Amino acid sequence: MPKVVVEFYGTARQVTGQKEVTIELKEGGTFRDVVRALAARYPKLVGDVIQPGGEELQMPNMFNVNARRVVHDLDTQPQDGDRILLMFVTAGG
Amino acid sequence: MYGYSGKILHVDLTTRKTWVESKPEEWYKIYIGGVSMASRLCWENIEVGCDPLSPGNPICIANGMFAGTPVPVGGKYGLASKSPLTGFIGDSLSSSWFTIALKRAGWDGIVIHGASDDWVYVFIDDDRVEFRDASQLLGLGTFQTEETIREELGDDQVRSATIGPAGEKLVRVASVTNDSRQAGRTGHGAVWGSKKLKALSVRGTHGVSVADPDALLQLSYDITQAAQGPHTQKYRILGTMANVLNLNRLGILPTRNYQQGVFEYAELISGEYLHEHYHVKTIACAQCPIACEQMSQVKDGPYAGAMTGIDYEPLYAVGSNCGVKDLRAAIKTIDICDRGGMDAMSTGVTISWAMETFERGIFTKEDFKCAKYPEGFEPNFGNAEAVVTLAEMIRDREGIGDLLAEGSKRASAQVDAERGTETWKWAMHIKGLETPGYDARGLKTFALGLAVGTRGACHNRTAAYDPDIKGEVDRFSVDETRGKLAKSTEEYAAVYDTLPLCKFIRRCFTGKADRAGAWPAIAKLINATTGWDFDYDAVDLIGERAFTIKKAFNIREGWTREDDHLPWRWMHEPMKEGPSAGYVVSEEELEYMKDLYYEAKGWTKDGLIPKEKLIALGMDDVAEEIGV
Repeated sequence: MPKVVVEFYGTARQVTGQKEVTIELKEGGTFRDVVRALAARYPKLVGDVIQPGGEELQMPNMFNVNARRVVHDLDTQPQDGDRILLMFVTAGG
Repeated sequence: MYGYSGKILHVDLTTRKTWVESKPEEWYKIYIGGVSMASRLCWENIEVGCDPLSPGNPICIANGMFAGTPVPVGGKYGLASKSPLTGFIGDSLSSSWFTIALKRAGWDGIVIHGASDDWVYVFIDDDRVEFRDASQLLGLGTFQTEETIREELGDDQVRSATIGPAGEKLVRVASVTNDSRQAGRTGHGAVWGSKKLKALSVRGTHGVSVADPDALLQLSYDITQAAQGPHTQKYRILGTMANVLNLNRLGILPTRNYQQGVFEYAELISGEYLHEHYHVKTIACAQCPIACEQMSQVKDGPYAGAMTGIDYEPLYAVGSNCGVKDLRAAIKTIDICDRGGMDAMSTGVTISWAMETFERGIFTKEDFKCAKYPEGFEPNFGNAEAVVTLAEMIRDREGIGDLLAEGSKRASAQVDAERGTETWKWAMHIKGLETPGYDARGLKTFALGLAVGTRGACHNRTAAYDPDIKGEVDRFSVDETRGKLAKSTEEYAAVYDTLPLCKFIRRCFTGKADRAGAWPAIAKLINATTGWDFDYDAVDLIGERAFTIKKAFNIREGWTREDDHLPWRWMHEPMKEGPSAGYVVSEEELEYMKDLYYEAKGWTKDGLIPKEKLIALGMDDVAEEIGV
């Protein structure tokens, strides 16, 4: 079964108190399953990071896979060993 | 006219005369306020071709229609002069109480001409203007100057924009400060110093009239409510400092003068670490319901007592970019910049150029003699005390600080001329303005946005990092979409900078930050304030017009296509490590993207503006001067 690592940044790290978590997916598991798993494991993420319902990320949070590409369709599948960055980027300052 | 007074105040420091100019409503509909109106005032009042530090360069301030109203984050003003760093338009924004005082004093804009023989500060007391002796203020820091003026005038409601010791000494990276906020970039402080203007103080006692107060109040209430939710959460908790770890992970955190994009000590200078160890208070500008400024204090060690607001851009510049992992030293350096009246970004990037020049053996310990270290010191990357000391030396133009006070472009040119070196290859600037906290080798749309920016390397005047970071395009490659994206994102940013509204509110209108989400709501705000009939298209034109007047200014000052460049390093040295390893922005890629951009703008291949384009934008007089 595929395993992915979700790295937490910003609000997600503050809420979970962790830098990363490993999630084991069922065969064919999707990024949406990753969101569901996170919402179940860290209910406090629901609100500022995950939308109520636990199915979608709250804008402007996003998944970036291996610091190379952004996930636009949560119903696609991550690869075994992917590192998924849960992050947002601010402008200005 | 609602939302405006219709009056521009002119102040001549040479003759000590003042006069009032009335502008027609149509002029306001084109130039609106903020950076656009300030740049237009600069266009109208400058002696073309003048030295930026000469009396012919005016100081132009433009308020916005929302200042002093309930509209959230509308308390901002634009400041424009010819930049002593770039020789092109220098437009900056600042915010908070000074803006509101200016609005209540009844002025949409201020133009300061000439230069004084003696140090003065100008006190605008509603309609009355007073030239006051500033000799007792010389040498005072920016915050202290504001307080001293308040005490001298016996009124704690007086608000002042001030310069610090750096501006007095014509340090080219000097800034202008009000209410602890800075019009930081492009060297305004040096322009003020060249005129012997220490401060501009304002007391405003009038009300502000708007066309539909009830509608404006309701719109403002709804936006304020939205601003307390997830749309601004990222700004309220960690502020822009959250960028440190994100950008580091993407391999684009400027490190050791942009030699790297990954900083091994990023955790130690992160927003998360700052929040846990040094954050003491979060504060807001006047008229802002978000509150993003993370006031941070050093409580122990040699820099104990240093305290200032920390944002991402100053922090990367004096932190990772100088190899500094000690947040206490970074806070101290930013504190020196804020009180001394210097742009911490340009200061940090100029220091990092000096550090690399030292590590390459061109500068030696001897070059770094100063009163504090009579034998000199060795500013290797990571030497936090060296960064602190160099910031002080730049502020005071002491020793090598006198060279660095000229900014990285001039400093490298001088060293190369004297020593036969090529330090310009690691001087990180565009048009003379030091680069911001994103390594553009891993963000190619952003690279184009920076290259064509009218004020040089500025992350605030283009939002072209957005499609790169959000994955709307492949950030590592170039394609035919980039010209339109650079146009679209710079004009998007210019709408906010012109109204002006802080961009941090952009998701709070409808939850979506794009044009479709924000422009109809902004049109409602404009119409309730002014009684005008703006729609989506009219709002969209604000940005194009703003960018056009600034570009026109540059063309008249001698801009050519070659000025839209990138630092040599970004074009020739691949990133060494991390997710962006191996990438540069090649000459071929940049020129291709510039072609696309000029075409998207409706300009010539040389980047000049056709007359018919300017006339269509309502800029007939500009067309006569620079149109082709």
